[in-house]
Amino acid sequence: MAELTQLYRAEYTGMVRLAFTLIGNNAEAEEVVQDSFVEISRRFEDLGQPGAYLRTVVVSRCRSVLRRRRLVQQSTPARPPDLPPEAESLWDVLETLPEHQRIAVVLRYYCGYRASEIAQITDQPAATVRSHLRRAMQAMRKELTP
Amino acid sequence: MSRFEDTLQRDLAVIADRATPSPDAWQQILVRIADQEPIEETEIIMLVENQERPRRWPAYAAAAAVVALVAGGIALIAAQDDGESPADDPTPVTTPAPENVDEQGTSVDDEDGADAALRTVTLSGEALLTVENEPGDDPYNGTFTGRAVLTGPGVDLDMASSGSFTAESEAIVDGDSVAVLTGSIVGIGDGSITSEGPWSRRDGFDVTEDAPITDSTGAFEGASGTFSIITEAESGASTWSMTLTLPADRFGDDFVEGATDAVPPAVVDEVVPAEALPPSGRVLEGRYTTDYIGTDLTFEVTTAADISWTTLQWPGTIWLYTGSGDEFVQMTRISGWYDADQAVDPGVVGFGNIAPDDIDGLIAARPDMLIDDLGETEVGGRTARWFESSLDPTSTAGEGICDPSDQPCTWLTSRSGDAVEPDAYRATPSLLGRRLVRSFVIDMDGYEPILVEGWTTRDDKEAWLDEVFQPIVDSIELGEPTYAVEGGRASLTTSVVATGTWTDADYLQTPRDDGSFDVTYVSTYAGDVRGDAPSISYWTPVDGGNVGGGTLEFTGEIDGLGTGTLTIREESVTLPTFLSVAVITGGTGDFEGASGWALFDPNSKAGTYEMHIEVPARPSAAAATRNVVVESQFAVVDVVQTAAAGATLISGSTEFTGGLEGTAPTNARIVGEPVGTARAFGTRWIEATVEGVGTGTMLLQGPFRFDEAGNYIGLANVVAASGDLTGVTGTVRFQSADRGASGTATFDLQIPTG
Repeated sequence: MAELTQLYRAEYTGMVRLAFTLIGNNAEAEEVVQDSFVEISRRFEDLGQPGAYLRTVVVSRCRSVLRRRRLVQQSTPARPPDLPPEAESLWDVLETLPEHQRIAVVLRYYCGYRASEIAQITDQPAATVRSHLRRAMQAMRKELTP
Repeated sequence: MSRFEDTLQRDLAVIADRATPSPDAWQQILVRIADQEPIEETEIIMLVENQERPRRWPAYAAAAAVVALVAGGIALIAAQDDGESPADDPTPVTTPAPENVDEQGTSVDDEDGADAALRTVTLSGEALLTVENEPGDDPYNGTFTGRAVLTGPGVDLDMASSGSFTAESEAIVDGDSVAVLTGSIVGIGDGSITSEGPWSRRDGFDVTEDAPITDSTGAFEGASGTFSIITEAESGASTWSMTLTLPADRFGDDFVEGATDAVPPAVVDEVVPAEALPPSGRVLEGRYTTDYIGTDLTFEVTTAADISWTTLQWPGTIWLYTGSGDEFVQMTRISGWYDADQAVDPGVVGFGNIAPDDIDGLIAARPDMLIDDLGETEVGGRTARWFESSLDPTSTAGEGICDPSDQPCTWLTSRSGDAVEPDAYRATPSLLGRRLVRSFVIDMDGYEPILVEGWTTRDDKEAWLDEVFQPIVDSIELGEPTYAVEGGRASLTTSVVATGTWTDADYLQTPRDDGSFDVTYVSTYAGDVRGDAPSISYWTPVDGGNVGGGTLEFTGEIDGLGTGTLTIREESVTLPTFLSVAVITGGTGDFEGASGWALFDPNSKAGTYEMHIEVPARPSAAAATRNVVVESQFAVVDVVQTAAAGATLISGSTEFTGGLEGTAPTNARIVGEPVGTARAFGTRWIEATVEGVGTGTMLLQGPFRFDEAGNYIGLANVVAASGDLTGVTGTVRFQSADRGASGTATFDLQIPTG
């Protein structure tokens, strides 16, 4: 449990921020991360890199949230009221990106992961991740560049 | 990093900072860790009894969604939200157990007495689903059967379903289905569960929701609950869920509560048995296997491909192409060397002599090739290098060093050498020149690498490569490394030219929503070929006519060969002078390994045929070879050209001069489809002397592409050879001029040295 506590202290806030950036809803983000910690606790002893596993689980759960939204045509979360205009625009564009592209963009430009690392996290070929990034960047440039 | 990327990074951080992690999150996590098992059961009991559920929506996402059964192109399924927004209740979770729950979290049925303790659980996961209409059904009113494999924590269930439907359109379908789930759930046991309920398609989702369990056997006997499955029609992604109520003592300690699965279960590739890839014909959603490239190769075509695949196969190569001709998938062995020493011998030249670890060398040798990206990956459990490329429209550097994967280069060199995108493309509308290619070169331990490529000229190239091609690559499974297909080195044993007449009967035309239609019929052959051939063809209206092709499965006897079956693929054009050239792609019995071509000269539903059939011997293991590259000029003698409705028909014997000298007799036939879907498949014999090798015959088969002027670029494989050329393999690249009347042919041959 001490290790899990340590993992919580080190990762919880960052994971909630990551999840929030991916799915745009604070309550859902917290639930995703808490669910992930519960999941981690069951197999903590078997995990060589619990931090990496936590990250993968969080991203996977966020993808499930995004996928479900799309499947049931659920409305997207409301934009936070106090965002600066530039971030507001980015928020709106993120909401329009397909889930794989959004995840790739956030992992690349918020977390700073390379495509090969994103490929490991999302269990996709690196080539596919690069394609997602290219297409996302094209879409975002089109929308965000004056 | 660009300024845009800097801004993106900054604004993402701003957004992330708006997250507000709860200060008591750790306490909540600890409570859930400590109580997770009872809580899970309590929550499910709440779901059943009170129709209220705590906010653990990932667990119930599939449960809230619904059951789907797809019928061929008509799908049948519907979606429904759980009516609860995850954002409605920010409290992460645990609802106290109601009073009628025992200390194990098991509900007690008060009405039936204490010994009737029941436990209700929710299971969910993903599904692989295939459904097809019953033969003869029309798209709007019929029956279907389906099969799915349901996966999830501890769950291994096969679903067999059937039902009927009526449809207003492809998007509005209603019906009923019966689903029988057979298999096991860890902690419960083996048995079957039957559910019956309505399904529908709306808004792109095929859904059956909460279909009641009506029957059960084995370990599930006496079960009650509901079963749901939803399929997103566009992607084919399916999820399923089930609420299952059984006596509590049926659950073992090893039962896994599916609702708490953290990571979506991976799609299990092996669950759907692969079917043998048909020698030719339409390929629908499914898993296929082939030995056409030597090493067994299995792959999956998903419903994400909103297109009907059709295969072309010849020894050593598989092509999957769509009706539009805008995209292809090719899987081929990179021929040119048969051992590692030869592969790295700079004296062995010719295309394909690029080892998987020398992709950089290939790229360096191709200044006309624009590399968007490249790297290493794994395909089918083997190391692979990949790269994504297009052709520099301004380059002339590729001339003469094209390989089969980039046939545009010569075309561009000769026709748009100074082209500047995009205007020049509009001026010289070459589909080929706008192609984007994603290539994977799979290391086969010193045997010829396998090249898997996706080619597309669509507007949304990357989307097609990601969503259609890449899943195929990801699904590939490979057998043990071995040499390329033995058929590619076949030598002749028996050949016949069979002629006679045929008649068609039992025509059945089935329209499709897009205006195209399928036709089935039975051809009866008389003359040298005697027997019947049930056939199916696919037709698309084009410019007032119909363009299509089909597959004939002949069973009967052929003078000089014996009895068996022949598979014949037909590429046809409806023209005033309707001629149909077909390729013989295989056979069984005495026709096993058959190749060749057939010419049908129809008159309405009857006509004459001329079949050139070769039955090759089974060669032994590949011998060492040497590479010979020769170039010839060719000219068609007694040219017969017919151009109508934008199509080109070229026939006549062809004389070759140069490094290969000889004649292709009058059996040369090339039929081009109208420009825009300009493609063709050609077959020809060449009786020739190859400089430095000897004299013999070669049978060539391969695709051709036409431009608006009626000229073509053709790539053909040597699929059989005889005389001094016995055992020769390789490729030939044709570049025609004068609407096919003349041109150049580059023969890249592997000559056995044993």
